[in-house]
Amino acid sequence: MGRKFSSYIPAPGKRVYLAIGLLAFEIFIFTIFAENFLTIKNLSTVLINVSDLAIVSLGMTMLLIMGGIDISAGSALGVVGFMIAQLLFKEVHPIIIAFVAIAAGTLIGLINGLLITKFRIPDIIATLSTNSVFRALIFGLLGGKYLVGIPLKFKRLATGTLFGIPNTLIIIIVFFTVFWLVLTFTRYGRKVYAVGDNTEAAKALGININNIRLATYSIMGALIGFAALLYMGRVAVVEIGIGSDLAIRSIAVAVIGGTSVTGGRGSIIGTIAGALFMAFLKNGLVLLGMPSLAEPAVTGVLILLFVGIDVLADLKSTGKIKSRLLGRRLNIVDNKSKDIL
Amino acid sequence: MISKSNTKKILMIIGALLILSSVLLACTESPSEPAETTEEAAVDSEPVTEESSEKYRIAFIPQLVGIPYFTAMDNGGKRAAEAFGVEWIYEGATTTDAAEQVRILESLVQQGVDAVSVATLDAESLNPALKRALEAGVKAYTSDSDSPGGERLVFVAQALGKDLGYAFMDTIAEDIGGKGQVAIVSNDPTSTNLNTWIEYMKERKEEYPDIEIVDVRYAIGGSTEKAMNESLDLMTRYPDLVGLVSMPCSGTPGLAQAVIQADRVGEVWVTGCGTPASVKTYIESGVMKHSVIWDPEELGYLTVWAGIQLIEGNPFKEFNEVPGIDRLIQYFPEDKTLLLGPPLIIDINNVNDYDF
Repeated sequence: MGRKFSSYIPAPGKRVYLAIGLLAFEIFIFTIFAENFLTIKNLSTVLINVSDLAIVSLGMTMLLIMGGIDISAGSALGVVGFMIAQLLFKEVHPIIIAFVAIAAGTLIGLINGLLITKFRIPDIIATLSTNSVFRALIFGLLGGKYLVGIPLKFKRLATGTLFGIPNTLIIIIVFFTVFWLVLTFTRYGRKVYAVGDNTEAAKALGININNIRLATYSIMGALIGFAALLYMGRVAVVEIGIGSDLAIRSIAVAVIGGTSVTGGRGSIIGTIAGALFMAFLKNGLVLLGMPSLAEPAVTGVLILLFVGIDVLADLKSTGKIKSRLLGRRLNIVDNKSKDIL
Repeated sequence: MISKSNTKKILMIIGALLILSSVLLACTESPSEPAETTEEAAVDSEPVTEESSEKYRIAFIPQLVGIPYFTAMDNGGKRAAEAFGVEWIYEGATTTDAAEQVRILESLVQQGVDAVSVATLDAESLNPALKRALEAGVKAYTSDSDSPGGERLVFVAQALGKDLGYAFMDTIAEDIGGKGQVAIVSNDPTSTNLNTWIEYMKERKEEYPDIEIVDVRYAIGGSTEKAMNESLDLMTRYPDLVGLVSMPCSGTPGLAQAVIQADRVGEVWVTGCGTPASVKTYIESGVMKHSVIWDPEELGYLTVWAGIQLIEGNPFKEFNEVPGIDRLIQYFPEDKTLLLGPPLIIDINNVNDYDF
């Protein structure tokens, strides 16, 4: 059994190379046309600001591959952020705070996972509901105020450098390497792919699907807890809008990186390219002098383009998309007819 | 039986479509929703006058709930409700969502409130809803942010847009010593009040020939983090930038935090709309010298008083005595605007005098 899972190691798909290529192209274009783009200071600023998004996107990629999704990510980050702020005000030691933050995040992820596995609520509905609950919780905890003047104990973690390299770049590289290894070479990682690709077949193979789901949602929670530390280090303000579109942005990042929203397909390497693509896009458009009002339109069109390329690449490389879609439809019809019979 | 995995995948696809469409919709205006139910509401809320022995119900819909600014307005509304013996309803969304405002307004009309005021996010989508509210017999008016081109009965203004725009320009000019590049960070491009302030700020800029307003960025959604990221990019794009001005109160801490992160404290000055509690730490640590505000608590109070006048059918005079406010409140009949007073400038000397 062990050999079966680990002997199949997929090469990075075309889609990943495409994402990396587009990132390189984007950096190339901005370097030529945008003043002040290729400076240490600007690159560090972008890397600092993308850190929490990148970490959350990592978890989101795993969930999407598994056929799951987490709409509550931003609100969960807000709840953990509020806790971190309170502990910072009480001058608790930063290491204890970091531990509490990650533990709290894991617990939140576990709650999502339990709702999905034990109560059999579809992932998107379960996390949409917890999203509302967490947002209401932040609202209640803040009591209509902002938390400002939070001690900057995590500023060095989030915005400092090590041998001239931004800490966040090191954090991103370490996290992405570890999770790439886990997803590609461990039994757990292969099971995540298997569950997302075909749940029934995974069940037939004897995979405990609920355990995989619980584990992945808990990992997502832990990553959110860590991302909240980075967020508090750089923003240091807790207000009602905290993390309000983090979930959507992290899904966009994963999709740009070639992860399929229908599960079973995706890559961590694609996601890091996607995260950097999004971050440099936002930054580069400002530096190019793109009017603020035109920006969301440009971003939206680019994302559509990416997804379009995704479909085309699939069609060209395998020619399978038609038969896959057709097959799925036949499957539904087949099941329906069984129902009637 | 449809297999579970298929149902799940279909849900996933729907989810993905929702996400994609919301990304695209982020730049378009939210359409107002057709509400066939208003006719029922008109029937329900007909006997307003017969219920006059009961408490008047006066509602207010803020641009978003949970921020200190609107919380202060809520407190003022509660204080007035107690003073005048009416019921105060405060209901809004946690993000700046124009479609949600319309929904809340329509549900309040259905509940048969006597008067409802709105801090407008998007006039285009709100105006038809305001009109339907008026047709249903509800005294609909605006407060804090007006809805131009609509039929609201009165606008309760915190300060004249002109006075505020001029105050933003004057404070940033003072902060940066009268010369240099300045950038503006706003939130949603449909926020009527913020757009008016920007226009007047630009008008006032003519007085300062050595100052250049280089850019206006819109941090859509109104979160502090977004305002912060816009500010960081602005400082990179314009290395000679010396001033950042936030129009929304929710953005100001983000601008200040950006200057701290970029290590430009003392080189780039931040000002903008800011409640004393939210800018206190930045004024004390020298990131900001001033913020511009008015008393939102008193604005909430005045909103309730205005609602009572509308319900009772008392016309506004040019100068009105309002019990509980120790100055005369001016009314401008040509714009149907009730004015709270001049802007309040917060600095190191008075930042500790207020609790909002």
